[in-house]
Amino acid sequence: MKNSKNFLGFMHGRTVVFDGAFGTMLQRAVGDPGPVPERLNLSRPDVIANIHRAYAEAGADVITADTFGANRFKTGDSCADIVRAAVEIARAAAKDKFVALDIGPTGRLAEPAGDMTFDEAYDAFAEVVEAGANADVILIETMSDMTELRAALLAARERSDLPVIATMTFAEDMRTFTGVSAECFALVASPLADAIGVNCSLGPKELLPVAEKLVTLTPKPVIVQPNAGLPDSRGNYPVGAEEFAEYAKKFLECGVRIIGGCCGTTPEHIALLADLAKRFKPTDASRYKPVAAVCSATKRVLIDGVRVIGERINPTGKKAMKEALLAGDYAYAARQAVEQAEAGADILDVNAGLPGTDETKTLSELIRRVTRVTDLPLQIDTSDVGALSRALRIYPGKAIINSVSGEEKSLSNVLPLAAKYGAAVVGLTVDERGVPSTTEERIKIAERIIERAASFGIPECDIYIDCLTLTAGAEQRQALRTLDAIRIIKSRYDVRTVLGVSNVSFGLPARRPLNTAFLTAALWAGLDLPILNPNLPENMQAIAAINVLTCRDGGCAEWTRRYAGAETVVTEVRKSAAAEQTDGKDLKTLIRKGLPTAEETKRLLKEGAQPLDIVNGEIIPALNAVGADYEVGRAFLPQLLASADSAKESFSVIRVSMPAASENKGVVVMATVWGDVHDIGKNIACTVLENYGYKVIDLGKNVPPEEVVAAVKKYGASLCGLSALMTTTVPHMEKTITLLRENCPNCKIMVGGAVLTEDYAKKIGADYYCKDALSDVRIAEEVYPAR
Amino acid sequence: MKVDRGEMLRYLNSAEERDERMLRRIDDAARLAESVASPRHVYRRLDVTGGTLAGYDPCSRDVAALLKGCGSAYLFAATIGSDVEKEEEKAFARGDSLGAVALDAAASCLIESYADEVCEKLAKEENVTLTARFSCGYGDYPLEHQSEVCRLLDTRRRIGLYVNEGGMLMPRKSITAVMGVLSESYSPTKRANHTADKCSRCGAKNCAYRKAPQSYGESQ
Repeated sequence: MKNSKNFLGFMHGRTVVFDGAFGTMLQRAVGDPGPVPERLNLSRPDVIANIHRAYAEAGADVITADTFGANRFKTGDSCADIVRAAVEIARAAAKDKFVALDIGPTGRLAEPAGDMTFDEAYDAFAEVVEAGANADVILIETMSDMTELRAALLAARERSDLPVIATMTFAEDMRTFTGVSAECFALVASPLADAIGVNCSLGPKELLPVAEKLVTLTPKPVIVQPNAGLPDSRGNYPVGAEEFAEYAKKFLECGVRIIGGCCGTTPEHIALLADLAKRFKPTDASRYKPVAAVCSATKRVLIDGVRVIGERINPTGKKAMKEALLAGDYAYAARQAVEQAEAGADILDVNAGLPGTDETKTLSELIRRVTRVTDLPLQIDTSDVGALSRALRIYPGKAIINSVSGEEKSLSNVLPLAAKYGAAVVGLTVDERGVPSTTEERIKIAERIIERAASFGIPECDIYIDCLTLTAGAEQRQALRTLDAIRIIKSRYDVRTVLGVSNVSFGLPARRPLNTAFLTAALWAGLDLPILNPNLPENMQAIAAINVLTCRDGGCAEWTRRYAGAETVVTEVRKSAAAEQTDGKDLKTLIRKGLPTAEETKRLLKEGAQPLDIVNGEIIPALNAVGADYEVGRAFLPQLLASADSAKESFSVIRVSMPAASENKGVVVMATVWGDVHDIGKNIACTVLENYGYKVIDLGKNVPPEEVVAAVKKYGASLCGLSALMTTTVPHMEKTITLLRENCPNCKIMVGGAVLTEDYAKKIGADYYCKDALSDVRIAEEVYPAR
Repeated sequence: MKVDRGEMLRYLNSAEERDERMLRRIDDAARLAESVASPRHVYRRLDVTGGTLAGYDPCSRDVAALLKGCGSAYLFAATIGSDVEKEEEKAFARGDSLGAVALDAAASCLIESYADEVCEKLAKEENVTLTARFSCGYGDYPLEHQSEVCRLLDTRRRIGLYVNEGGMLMPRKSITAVMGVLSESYSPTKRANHTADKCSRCGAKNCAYRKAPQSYGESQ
């Protein structure tokens, strides 16, 4: 047989056998092969070929080329040469077998836990895929991170026509080390791969439950490649060929279609598998149980009842969010994400639609920042197809697209993206003619969307129809039509329904009770996914009540748990960093003691106090007093931070009532340098500086020098703060300083971090050294003298 | 695996904390860190000859001194995962920087406590007495060796532990170390004698976390 063999055709009606461990065999042959064993493809092709031959003789159907770690991060420039050579060696050593291009993890950890971006991963994988074009199938394996897995899958899909298999490696808690569950893996990988499965990390016994679960989660064939158990302290693997084969039989019985071995397995193991596969005829009956669900990298949300989509991360009509996004302040959105998650949202809508800005860039960054602080799945809300496409590409999960309409242009632009990335999609019942005024027209448009989606292979359960909320104040009759449309569509199709609720009361007084009534009615009509503000307790109460009345809340357990202690149902809940009694204390005292300040600040404002007087007369003096105690050792870091948090809370209240009131003493750009992921010290400094009235542009961690320079220029900052934790990352700090000096000669630079000292800071060219959490403020006062 | 509250306060640069409210916040952080941590470890035993391990030279006089008289040694790595980091980010996002910093301190205590537990268990199970753990960056043991230690232990695959270009461990709350086998039987007394002053064996006399007086260990 020659090149481009039809692997998928071969799989039909047959159990396919992959080969076993390569590393284990290589170690037996040459000892420790060094940091890049794949170089042996160039220097010792004979050794590599021998191993392939041994597996071919043992009866494997597929020989895996020795390309596991052959990526640019490990091999440098020789990646393509190594991959090409490896595929040729495998081909020549096993002419009548399929050759798999093996793609392992890059060796770097992706964001947010690590420092590799999606694009870096994608480019590295694309290089491997293109160099391995002569293989018959691509095996993406041993993945543990969702971003990296998706980058590899997309590179394989977009840069090649070969069939693609993807496996992740699970620990005994049924999750990968970065927290990906089998459920999330299956939801995300199934649309992009031809087969999915598990490999490595555990022995066959431990992987059996994962495999049993996986066959129910995916419509695609399942592959399993276990280790020969867990190695002892000398690196020996305990599970012999016969025991391995016994488990292999169990895998095949539960519906696994492709089987092979990982670490510690040998040709003896594979020979028994090949023997077993010959005797075992797979059934074609899939065990897949389809579900309506979306997910982040680590959390799956089933749409099998009412699920709340939080609406707060959207600048439209929300002044504070708009200003924050325009100023590059993503901390505000992060806070909204955390608050909505804690208030009970199941999914978060993210929208970055601001006229005059680069929506693609802003939306991507927004998604990046929000996914750092929440594991809730996201609904990507944009009418810009470019921004949508990029967002779907980088989002490490199965997102909801908000939205497609019945308009031809929208259908042909958006649905292919939903199909490609396996996303769910909101179907808006409007079209070229605008918003329909009758129930029937709404249903017709919904049907058109469902039909077109089906032509792209998008199942009904991934379509969420939005029957549109109109303003009762203007078009009163429409409310009933919306509700009718929901009821009828739900009775005819397996789709879910979604609705933004609060628009119904626009322009009317006392909006909240009206919204609650409409929400309740819509839920009753069959609404699955209300888009609302979960911070308003009446919204969540209405949903909890409906869950009782529709028996979804079995035995009223959830209702009782939530409200048993409440004398009357609460109408306002405000969570504070520290829920404490604050009776009778003035603002100054509250801040000094690190107590909640929101209520007292509101009271002062209500009584007519001027925002600036509160800032200068209460907040700043309190902070100064704590600061003074801290500097002489009478207060310690915990007290300082508690006060800083209280002051920040007070500021946030003042800003809501009067955005212009917050004083701007000057801009400070802050960053943890490239290569460094420890940003806690920098984060503290940001909080403290903000409290003292400085506008802080926080660039985050692992920030390239060029980005720091760009931000300093963009915001015209006269002060820039850099942090680095270790001696090995200080060189990046030095590089950043050099670049700043060349490009922004007027910007002063302050540095901080565990290994830095006054002398060290001077040596690398900084202007100031920050020894503790307050130094930044003293320096900022010097750089920006009071006017 | 438990957070030592005293250690935690030390990480927070705080004197003895008496404020009940503050102690409660610190307690909350400790409990949260304990509940979200997913501790994992891996170790490998290698023979030792002349201060270096079979197939691995630590390039360090301090490590050689540690391994003096040992016939074998363990390479060791442990992590508590990155979920605590996510909780820290969440705390910062909701405006609770005290909570974030307290979580960070709790996590530092947690990884130490976990490593101690694992090493104690390892010693019992393999019936050996171990030296103290000695990590890259201690004394003259180069920080740059972090990636080689992780490679030899295959930490990415085995426990999800990565090293970035800056030699930084990710997840952040992780440890790698070398420990010598002092004897081929488990003896708590022998180990206690050996580890009595682990700070005294370290050359970093100005370290902020040094528990021993600066003069300690100078005669050794």
